[in-house]
Amino acid sequence: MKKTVTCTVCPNGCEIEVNYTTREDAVLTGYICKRGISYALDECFEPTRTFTSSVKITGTDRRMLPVRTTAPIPKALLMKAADELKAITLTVPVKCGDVIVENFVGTDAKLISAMTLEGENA
Amino acid sequence: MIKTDVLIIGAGAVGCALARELSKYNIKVTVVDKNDDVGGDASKSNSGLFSTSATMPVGTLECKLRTIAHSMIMNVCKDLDVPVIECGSIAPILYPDQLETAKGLTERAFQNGVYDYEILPAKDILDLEPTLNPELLGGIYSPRDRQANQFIFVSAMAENAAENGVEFVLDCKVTGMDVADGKIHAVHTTKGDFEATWIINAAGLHCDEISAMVDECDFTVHPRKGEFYVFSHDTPVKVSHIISSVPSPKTRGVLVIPTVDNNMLVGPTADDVEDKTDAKTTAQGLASIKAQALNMVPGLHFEDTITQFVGVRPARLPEGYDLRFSEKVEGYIGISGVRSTGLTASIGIAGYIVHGMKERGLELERKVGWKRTRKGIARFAEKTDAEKDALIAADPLYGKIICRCEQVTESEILQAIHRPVGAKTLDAVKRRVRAGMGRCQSGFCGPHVIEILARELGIPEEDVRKRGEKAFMLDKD
Amino acid sequence: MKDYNCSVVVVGGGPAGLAAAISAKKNGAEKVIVIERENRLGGILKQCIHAGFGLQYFGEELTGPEYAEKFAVIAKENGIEFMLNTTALEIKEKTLVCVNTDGIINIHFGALVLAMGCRERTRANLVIPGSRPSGIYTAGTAQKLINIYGHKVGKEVVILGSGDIGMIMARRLSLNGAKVKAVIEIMPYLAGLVRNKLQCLDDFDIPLMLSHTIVDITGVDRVESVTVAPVDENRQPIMEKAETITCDTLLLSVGLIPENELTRSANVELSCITKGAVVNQYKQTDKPYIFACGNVLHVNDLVDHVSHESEDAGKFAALYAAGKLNADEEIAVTAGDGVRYVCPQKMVRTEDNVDLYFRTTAPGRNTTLTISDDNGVLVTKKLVRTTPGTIEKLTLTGDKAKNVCGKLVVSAEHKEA
Repeated sequence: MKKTVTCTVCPNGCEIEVNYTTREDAVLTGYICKRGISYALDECFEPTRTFTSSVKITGTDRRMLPVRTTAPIPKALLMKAADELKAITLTVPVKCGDVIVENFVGTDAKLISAMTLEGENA
Repeated sequence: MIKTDVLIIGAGAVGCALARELSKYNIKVTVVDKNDDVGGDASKSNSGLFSTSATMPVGTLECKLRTIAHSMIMNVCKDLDVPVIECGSIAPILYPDQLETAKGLTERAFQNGVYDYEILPAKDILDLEPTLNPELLGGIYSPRDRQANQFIFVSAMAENAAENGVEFVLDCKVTGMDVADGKIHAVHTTKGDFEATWIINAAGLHCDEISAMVDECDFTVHPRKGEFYVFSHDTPVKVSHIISSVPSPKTRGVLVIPTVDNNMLVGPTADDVEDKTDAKTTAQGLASIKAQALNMVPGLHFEDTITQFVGVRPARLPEGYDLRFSEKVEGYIGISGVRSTGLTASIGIAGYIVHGMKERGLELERKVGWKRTRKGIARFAEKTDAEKDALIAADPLYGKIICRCEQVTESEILQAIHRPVGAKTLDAVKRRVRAGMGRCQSGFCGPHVIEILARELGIPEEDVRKRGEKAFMLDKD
Repeated sequence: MKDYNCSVVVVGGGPAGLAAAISAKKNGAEKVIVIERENRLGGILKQCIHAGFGLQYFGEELTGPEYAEKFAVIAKENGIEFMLNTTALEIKEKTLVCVNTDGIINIHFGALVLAMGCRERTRANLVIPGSRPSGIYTAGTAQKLINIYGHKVGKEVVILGSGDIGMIMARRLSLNGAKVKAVIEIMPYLAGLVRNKLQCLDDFDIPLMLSHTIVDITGVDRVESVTVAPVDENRQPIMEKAETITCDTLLLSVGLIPENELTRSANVELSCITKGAVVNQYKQTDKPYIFACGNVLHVNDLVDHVSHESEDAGKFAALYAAGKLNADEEIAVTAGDGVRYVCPQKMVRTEDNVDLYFRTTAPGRNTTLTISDDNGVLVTKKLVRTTPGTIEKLTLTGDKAKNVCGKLVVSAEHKEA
């Protein structure tokens, strides 16, 4: 297999070419620094993304509470993650960092609040 | 069956002027319109000019009614608290062959009783309007051409009529009529059937469709599209007079117009189209306006445009105003051929029609205590600091700015919604109080205005419309 | 009418305003007031719920609301006063006129920091022909409707402009179940960050159409379709190759404009390129008591830059208010070959380091960035890749900044396109 990955670790934006059958025997070309190697391998074998979204909240004028995962989750789970939020409605007060869901979508990551909402003008 | 004495079809300038004129009498008047708001189609999207009859065809009914109306309009605007700028107009003469045309026009102006329509030398024109092309050969100066916010004018007449008892039924489209034995037995609409002694067709762009329902349609109406640019008030080069091309028989050409709201207006094009709902701006149309306007006022900054829009105006064939008391159908009055001149002429048309109704046996008893005046919504942005403080003391929502570009407060928006014939859509709010009319074009205030409209109208936010029947702001599942 | 006195007043409680206020306080300003028109601090970050903020400033990846909250907490701890739900109307000499539901408020200040942020360019700025139905939003407005109000904006979406907000909204809409049919960019290159193309477009198989533009919008009530055409090298549409894409929603992500109307009321000199104030390295405008920072000064791509820049503005505003910032001769800082603009546009000779922020005119590789004065090159930096979408920074160290001869010129030269 052959895949070209644009590295996003730094602004250099290396175009890294990966020739592989398994992660162990992959041959990489086009990177400037080592950070590119692990990034490109992850993109080929287990791409992950930090999931951010919002959930319904009542008790204040803002109707949606921003949330995020504490660690990146597999890319393939993004749509499932979005679906799981539809059933959640919270009420103030919520603090930034409060855990909303442990083991979110079956991963080790937690879903946490990304904002403190206490009331109208908090 | 909803019964009324007079049913006016169309709430544009003519329909609203008629409503106000008839509201002086003890008679039941109802105005229906297919749109969600008064202001019609052509009446709300034109250049807002109150011009003299200088260049009108001599001796026509159009010329006569506009001349009469022009002499009354300042008083009406004063009564209704409609701001008008008395800026005058200048038509720069840029080519030698326009000199002859200009001379002919001054002769016509004299015949039309406009004695202050004059050709001035180049230097005097440039002294009056230094933004003009310095290579001009001279210009026609007409000091009594004026500009107003056309929507405020029309809606002020409607508000005043409503305060005096006229009923406005909006979002109400006339779908047909029962006509038999020379009488209209019922007018079918999307909001029920109406029965009236007098039925006035003031449907403007759609007057042919209404006429056809009573089989009185011996003319056609063609939609003529006019595209405009609207400039931000902070653009560096602004004209202080209405600048027009030396008029040709068909159109006044492109104009550069200072407005009461300080947003210069540049346009229109004049393109005959097929579809009355064709409100599309075009790359060619906008490019042509730009070229013509820059030829007259070379310093215009088109990058300071805040929006472009289209007004569709009715062009009647054969041309000319036709105000007709039907011989065949009892109580039916057809108004057609009213074009852009009708914004001014509307109040003349209203007087003419009501007089005709009297002549044909309508007994009109003058109301006691008819309210002549109406106050506009106090605009926060235009007040001094002390006046602002007083407004807020009386109503704290005058201290809550919703539209930051135009500094429109929540109080003004609530008044726009709750006044007689109030706003039900975002565009209707914008036309009344300018929320969303600024640089960001409602990017910032749009979500707030949706929230306010839903709350005040008691509807879900998903049902809030930009305008019209189905132009919902949000996604409706 | 109420009157207040303060050393430094900051207009805007977003990232720039908060950083400036904190810095003003830490640098000795006795009383610092922040004016904020909304009911919460944080400005636009409140709706930027995606991650990617704070890597440079805090060394960790945060969402917009988290980044804002960190600053808001510090600001409160430092005793900064806030006037929420209050709109600044006008600057009259050294008085800021504001309004809220209590009435008109006059704030008499020693120094003022402009931190009002920016607004989005609209359809009218681009002169896109067509009809004017509902369903056309700027990307930021759609972001607010979705992330704060929980609304849905549409089912089938086309996005014009490959700016970051547009791409981030493409992902957000896709996760919410909408179909994003295309992102259309008139330039031959991406306007936003490559990372966003990968994570927001490629992850969801959203096509990016470079060198294309929208030439018509159809729909009487709601958007029904847009017509898309490729453009030639002069960015003129090739109409023969136009195609129609049906959609009910059009998002515009076509750039930001500093929101400088308040600035105009003070007759501050503005740059016709950045559309923000012309400043020296202290972020001081030609009205010495007015400072500017953040997106109202020039549009930034990273909030971390905004925070640093705003700390400078706050610090020097505090020093000015205390009478410790002396007027000195200013030399011009200009954009040379390959550079669109440099901010600051002026510099006072100093023994401190001076950071110059700038954007290049076109993307390229193996780029050499330089600062020169009349005597020659003072600073050189080489980068593997640059793009106009990314702000670059060069630092003129104090030893050089005190001896600059004539004017400063910042240039960029690409070895490869």
